[in-house]
Amino acid sequence: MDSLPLSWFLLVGGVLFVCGVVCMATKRNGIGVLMGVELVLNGANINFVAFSRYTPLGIHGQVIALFVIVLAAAEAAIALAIVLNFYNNHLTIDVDKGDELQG
Amino acid sequence: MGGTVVLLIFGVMLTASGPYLRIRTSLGELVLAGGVGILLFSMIYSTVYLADWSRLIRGPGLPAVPSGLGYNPADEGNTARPIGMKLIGVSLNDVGSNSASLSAGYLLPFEIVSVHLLVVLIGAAYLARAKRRIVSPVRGGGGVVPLERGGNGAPRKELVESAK
Repeated sequence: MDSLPLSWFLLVGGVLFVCGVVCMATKRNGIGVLMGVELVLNGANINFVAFSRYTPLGIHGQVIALFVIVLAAAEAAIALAIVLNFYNNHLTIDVDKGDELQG
Repeated sequence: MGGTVVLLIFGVMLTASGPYLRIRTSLGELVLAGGVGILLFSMIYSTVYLADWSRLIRGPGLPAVPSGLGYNPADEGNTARPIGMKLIGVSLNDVGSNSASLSAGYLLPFEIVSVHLLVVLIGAAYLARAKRRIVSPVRGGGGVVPLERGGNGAPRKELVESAK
């Protein structure tokens, strides 16, 4: 494991981040947008753990990643409650249909 | 993370569309989004390879745990015990040093996150309580069985099926 350069771990985190951003931008399904958010957060977690292994960041990077996982779960719960309310008001989870404020 | 997957499954089940309803993005939008994604990834790639990481990489970052303390071999990380001790507030590296040079314990963030989770659960339960659900505005209002008069907040069956 020590012979792998640090940049490979950062690139894996970057691939996950880009996949999450594209998923957030293109999905019309509300649940799909939330999956993109989870991908972005996990890409950042991989970055944190990679820096904790290779630099003097040490154990703090892994504790940060643990807290990010907990907070991502909490945010997913609230986001799902919001999607449920969106469905109650529009009878669909297609986020393109939420255009009442559109000028 | 397993809890996140369960939450997503509940969300999909609670908001299920009709059996032949398809939500698709058009092909042009997918190609444009793929192009933007490739551009973003090339920006990240060039940043990662232009940066000089050798100034940061100084020795093993993780604290060396003597092989007697962990359940795994020493080259598999052995970070579960130091993480657990840090969440209680004790850092294993410098037990016994004077208080000016102790590394950070994580007891306060742990307590804050536990209160945060409680607040999030209460908030999500309040946001997702049973309430009125509208029908498609074809036959005018009154299509919802209101909660106060013994209904369950669900739209009346004959109006929903005629509106489809």
